[in-house]
Parts: sequence; C-alpha cells; structure tokens
Amino acid sequence: MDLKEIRQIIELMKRNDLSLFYMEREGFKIKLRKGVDFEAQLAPTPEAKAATPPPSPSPQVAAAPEPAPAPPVGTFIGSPMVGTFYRASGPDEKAFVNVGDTVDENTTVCVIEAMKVMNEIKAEMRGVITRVMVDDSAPVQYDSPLFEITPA
Amino acid sequence: MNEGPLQWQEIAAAMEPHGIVVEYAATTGSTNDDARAAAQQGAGHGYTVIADAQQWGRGRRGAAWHSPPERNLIVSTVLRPAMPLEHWSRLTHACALAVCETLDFYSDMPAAQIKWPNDIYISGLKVCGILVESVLHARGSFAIAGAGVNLNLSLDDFPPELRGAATSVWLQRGGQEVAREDFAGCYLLRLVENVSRAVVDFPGLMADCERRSFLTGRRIRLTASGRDIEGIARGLGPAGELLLETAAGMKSITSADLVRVT
Repeated sequence: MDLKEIRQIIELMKRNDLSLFYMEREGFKIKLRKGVDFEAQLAPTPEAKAATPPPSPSPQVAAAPEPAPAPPVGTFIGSPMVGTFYRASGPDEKAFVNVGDTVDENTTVCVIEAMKVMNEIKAEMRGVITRVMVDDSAPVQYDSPLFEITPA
Repeated sequence: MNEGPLQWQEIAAAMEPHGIVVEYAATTGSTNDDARAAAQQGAGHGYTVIADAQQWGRGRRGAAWHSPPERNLIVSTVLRPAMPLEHWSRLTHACALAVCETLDFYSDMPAAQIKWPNDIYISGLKVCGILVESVLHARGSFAIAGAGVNLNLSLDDFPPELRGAATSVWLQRGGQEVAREDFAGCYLLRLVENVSRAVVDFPGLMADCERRSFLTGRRIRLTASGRDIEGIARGLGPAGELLLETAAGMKSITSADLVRVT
C-alpha cells in the first residue's frame, strides 16, 4: 500500500463520515482514526499507531486512563509531555482559564507537572476555550488534548 | 555566627569566565519570579539571581518556605536546555544532583542524599528544597531552577516545629560556618554542567542520583493522582521516575505529593 492509496482511504472516510478504518494483511496492518491531527495518526509501520497511549514498560500508577469520551474532533491545545494536569498555580488559586475565556498566544492555560518541574503551558493561538478536556490533578500523556479551542 | 550580606560581586566575577551572569538582591519577593522576569526579557542560559532574603519564597504548588536573612543560599537560575520539552522533567534531577555534589565538597559531614525528586537530606533531615518551573512557549521556552539551601543556621534559627525535620550545613559540620560565596559558585558550575549531562548523558546523571537516593529500600507512602499508595522504594526508572514495589506490583511514579517514609 502506498501513500496515494492511503490518501484515497482518507478521502473515503471523509466522504462517508467514518471515524475509524482498520485493515490487516499479511505483514501489514493499518489503522486510521479521525481525530486531533488526522494526518499524524497515519501509521507507516506494520504496527499501526493505536489511538490510546502504548503501555509503558512498567505499570504506571498515573496510567489508568478513563475511557476517552468521543474521539476528539476540532482544535485542541495538547500536552507537550507526560505529567499531571493542573488548572491553577496552587490548590486555592483561580483557574488559569475557564470555558468561554478568550485567549491569545501568550495566555497561560494550565500547568503540567512532571518530576516536580512545573511547566506553564501557553495557548499558542488566539481563540475561545470551549471545553476543558481533563480533570484537575489528572495524569496526561504526551499529546493528550487538554483544551478544546475555537480559533479566532 | 558571622552575619553580613553576601559578597555577591565575588561570585559574579568568578562566574563571568564561565558565561554565567549573576545578579543580587538583598531582599526580593521570590528569586524564581525575578529570574523568570529576566528570562522573559531575554536573559540567557545560566543567568542567576541570588538573594539574601526572600519575602514569599515558595515550594511546589505554592507551599511557603522561610529563611532568616543572610544565612542561606537562595538562588534561581535561568535554563535554556537544548532538548525536547518532553525531557525537561530531567532538570529537577540535574539541579538536585548539583546541590548534592556541592555538599559533597564538605567532607566533614555525612553525605547528602536526594529524596526523590526535589529535596536534599543529610542525616535524614531536610537541608534543601528545589523548585523548577518552566514556561513553554513557541517563541522561546525556558526553565527556572530555584534552590534554597540551609547553610549557616543554628538550631535556634529553626521554628520549633521544624527542628526534628530540617537541618543546616552548619549543624551537620558541628558548628563550622560555610562561606556562602564559595558554595554558590560551586553549585552554579555543577548546575550548568549537569544540565548538559541531562541532554547528552541522562543515564549517567540518573546513576549518580540513584547512588544518592534517600528513599531506596525504604517503605514509603505517597499520594499520586489523589490516591494513597504505599510500598517500598526500589530505585529510579530510566526517565527518572520513582519505582515503587506495592502489594499490587511494581509501580512507576512520575508525580506524587506528600512522599513520607513510614
């Protein structure tokens, strides 16, 4: 299967509003899932990239991911790292942003803690926050959608 | 004990050949905030703010940290490590090891240990806390490594509730004072070097942290994602995470609160 054929499948998925495509042949598997970054989900290797994070080498206490709601469609602010998601700078502080807030490139939207490094995450775009995708203090994976945003 | 302001010009002059810019404040709100403001104005890797007193020094998630003036090292350094953001959690380990290695120079006291991941202990008592904060931005990310090290404190300098939990280098050396300027200079050089090691030789850096691990082999209790977990600390994983042997098997912990030895 070459890139052209994969593109054709993507077109078919788009036209028929399919969110998932899976095919297996001898020595070859492909799984396509419509989501945050449609093209990025293409798995060129036989072991197709799963939509859920791969199991880590040792069981992670932070893992236990809740079943994902609906596969995300839209524009998202994603996590640049594995860590713990915090909506405010401290337990008694106000949330950095709430649903309905207008943000710009420089707005801090949350903190992701990893190994006690407190990482401030910026919106990196202009828009309005339409959904908070993760609970406060919950573990997040690399690239997990954190906020849904309607770009301005 | 000799009190007096830090001879910060000495540190600044000693660090200049290493490309480390040192600024000083007699009193400031928080050196982490000062370093962050400087970084936002373009301060480079290694830019350092040292204060003799801090008004609202803080630990992780806003926990307060108190220090009598002119006795300790209160230091924050701008870091711009050349590595992908998902590896910036390594900076806590780089900073913790830098403090430990500096304490190692004082051979007349017990060895310092790292209580995973960001506290330094001597003789089972806390001597230093570290707070690394970063601002991740498409237009230039940076981190601030902040450390507060108890240097020249006597027992009377600690509030009663901390006397069984915290210590100072002065106490551990049996009443020998530390030249704070020397300590600061050694620490800054180790910090910058360890950040480079975090980029090119993280396994080696972690092996050095592991050798100094305070928790390994101890039964501990911690809170992770709102759940209490108990087990025996079994060392550190390849990404610097804490390996905890629990009744339900080995767990790998990347963030935890209230890590306590039971």
